[in-house]
Amino acid sequence: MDRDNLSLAVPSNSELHEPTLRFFESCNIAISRPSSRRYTAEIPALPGAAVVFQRSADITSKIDEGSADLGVVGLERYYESRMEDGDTIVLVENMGYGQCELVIAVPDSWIDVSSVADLADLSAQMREQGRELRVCTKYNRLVKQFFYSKGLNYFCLVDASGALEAAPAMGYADIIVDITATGVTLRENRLKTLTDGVIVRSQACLVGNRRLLKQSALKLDITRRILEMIEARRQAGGYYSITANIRGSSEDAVAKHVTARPEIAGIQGPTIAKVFGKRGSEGNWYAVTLVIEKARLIEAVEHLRGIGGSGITVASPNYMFGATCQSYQKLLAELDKA
Amino acid sequence: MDNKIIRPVPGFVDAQGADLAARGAIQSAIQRLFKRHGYDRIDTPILEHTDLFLRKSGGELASQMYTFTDQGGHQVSLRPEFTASVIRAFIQRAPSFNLPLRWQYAGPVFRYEPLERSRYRQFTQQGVELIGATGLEADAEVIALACAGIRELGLSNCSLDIGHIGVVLSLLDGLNLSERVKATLVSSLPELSQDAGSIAAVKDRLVSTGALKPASGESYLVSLIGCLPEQQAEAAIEGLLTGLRAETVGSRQASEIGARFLEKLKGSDKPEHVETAMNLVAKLSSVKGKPAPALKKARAIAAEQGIDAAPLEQLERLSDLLGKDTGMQVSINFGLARGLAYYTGTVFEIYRNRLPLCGGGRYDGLVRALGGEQDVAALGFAYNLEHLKEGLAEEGKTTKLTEGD
Repeated sequence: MDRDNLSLAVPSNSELHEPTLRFFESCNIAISRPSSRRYTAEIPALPGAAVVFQRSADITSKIDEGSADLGVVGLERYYESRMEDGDTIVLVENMGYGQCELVIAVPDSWIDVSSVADLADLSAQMREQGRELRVCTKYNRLVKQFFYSKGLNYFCLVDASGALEAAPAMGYADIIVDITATGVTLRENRLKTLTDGVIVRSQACLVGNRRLLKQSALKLDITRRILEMIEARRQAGGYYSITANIRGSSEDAVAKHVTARPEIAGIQGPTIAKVFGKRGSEGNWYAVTLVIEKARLIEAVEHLRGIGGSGITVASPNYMFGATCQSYQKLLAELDKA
Repeated sequence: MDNKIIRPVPGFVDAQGADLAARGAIQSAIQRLFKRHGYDRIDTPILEHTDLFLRKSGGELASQMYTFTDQGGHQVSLRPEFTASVIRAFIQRAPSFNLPLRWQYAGPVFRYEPLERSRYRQFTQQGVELIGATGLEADAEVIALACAGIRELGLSNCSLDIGHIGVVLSLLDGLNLSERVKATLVSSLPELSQDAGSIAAVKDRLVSTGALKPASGESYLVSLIGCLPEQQAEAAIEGLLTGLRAETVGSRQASEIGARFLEKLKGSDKPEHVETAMNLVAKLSSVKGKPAPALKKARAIAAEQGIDAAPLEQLERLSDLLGKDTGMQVSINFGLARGLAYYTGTVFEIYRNRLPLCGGGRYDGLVRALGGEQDVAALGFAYNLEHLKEGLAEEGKTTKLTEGD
């Protein structure tokens, strides 16, 4: 198949659908879908990129087999579906949304089972009685890998039909393994998680086919632009931009006060500009602009006040670009290896 | 459509030409040798019920099997080894055989291993089972046969390690440990024999799998129930379950949950016992070397711990029986565990420059575990044919073997 465009697969059905559209919009590479019934879309800001909507369970294998170049998937889906020797790699492992955990949940009446080791013991005991521990899940591979690694060797997997959470109550499975964001559904179905029963901590990630990206300079360039925007957006999320007016004798004098606390004096240092005072204002005023980590906001405000700052405004930057795009550099290194 | 080349599945390879000829030549040479020693051929299906391998082989093998459900709903696995299949075939027609029975086999086995650990997920096993033979002479016969095969092929620089699972098991029996801890310790033998740091690693594993509880403050209620007499404790737990309004959903009854809860409270291993056991096992499993000094060291440990020294006598007689006929360097190695849970007595391995060429041992409990009506003593070993071929290639001896073809 001949495709010049870069094909980006986006979940059409799961919990990730809406958040992905919102996230790409916030990255200034909004996906424009002419109608909700169309299964293709464009990114007007990125000519040469074509979006295809796919079931989230299929996206990893679509990329593995090469019918899409990039895709947005939950990390747990990727781990479940990727080929061990395939060409699919993770480009961005934390897009910052779609957080959930793949957990083991057992009936809450099982007061004798609190850890995976308990479950391993129970499965061995059930086996001696001629029964098997039945596990209902959509994540067959991850469950097998995790259980085997914990010495839980005797179990059988039961196909999920409908809501997994109901399987123990309906009697066709003993326990379930499923994703949960809040645990509410599990609790409502009288299920509890195990102390060490988190199999994967997941969130939305961007994956791609390294073979296809290596073959096409055009696709690689579009990928670079996507990575630039995602990284800048993610970076910006951790920072505030603060501006304060400070009275001082000179720019240097103000700078000296501000940089007395280097950890809240901006990334390189403050930007200081003279403020041309209105009639009636006394002395020299300077506007100091700093970019600081979000967690240090109050600290920074107090510091600026302490050195005479007033009229302090705080803004969230939309994007923050470093000297290079790290995720793109990582991708290039990965393509070199391939 | 994308006309991409379809490659073999990772861990599987094609063979042809000289490579295939070498494998064939090795296999026929070994087969003739086994035949001369009275071993008849048996072939068993590649596909078996998963349960056959799970019954006694132990958990690790389960995690390596290619298992699936066929269209008829049977849970089946590609065989990861031959012994279970051969014993199954024996049990099926047991009354019609005169014991001892000597069987040889050869064929592919399948194990899903991380590709970093092994390049092959399919390899060829060729081996024998000697069924219904007790006594050290049988052990000696089988080990000597394994050595004879190596000589037949002309491989040099090989070494033979002999261990005895019985020694370790009797050591552990005296310590009041749960089956789970015992099994973990036996399977950790090779690791424990390494160095002092490995004790900590094994301990971590015991804690992480819950076999060993880290010292922690249990709640007052829980320890109280743990101290109650059986009937009262059961009533207390039933009351607790009702009180928690935890409806019992699914297949497990309240009484069953309660019983296991109690068992868990009372039956967990004492950390100090496990610690003692680990130190002892580490001490014993690090005993390795020439038979006479190694056995002397093991005897000292046995005397110190008051364990049965009979298996040690057996090992001594075994090494006498084998004498110098092995043609290779013989060591006693109590750290040998072989990774399969069914061994009960002598175990052995032959290496060439750390590459394992063959392994086997005695598994007297397997016949009954697989449904046989009585205990039948049995033992056997298998070569890894690809490893034999690799060794021969290194010594430049493959061509000599295939000259006749």
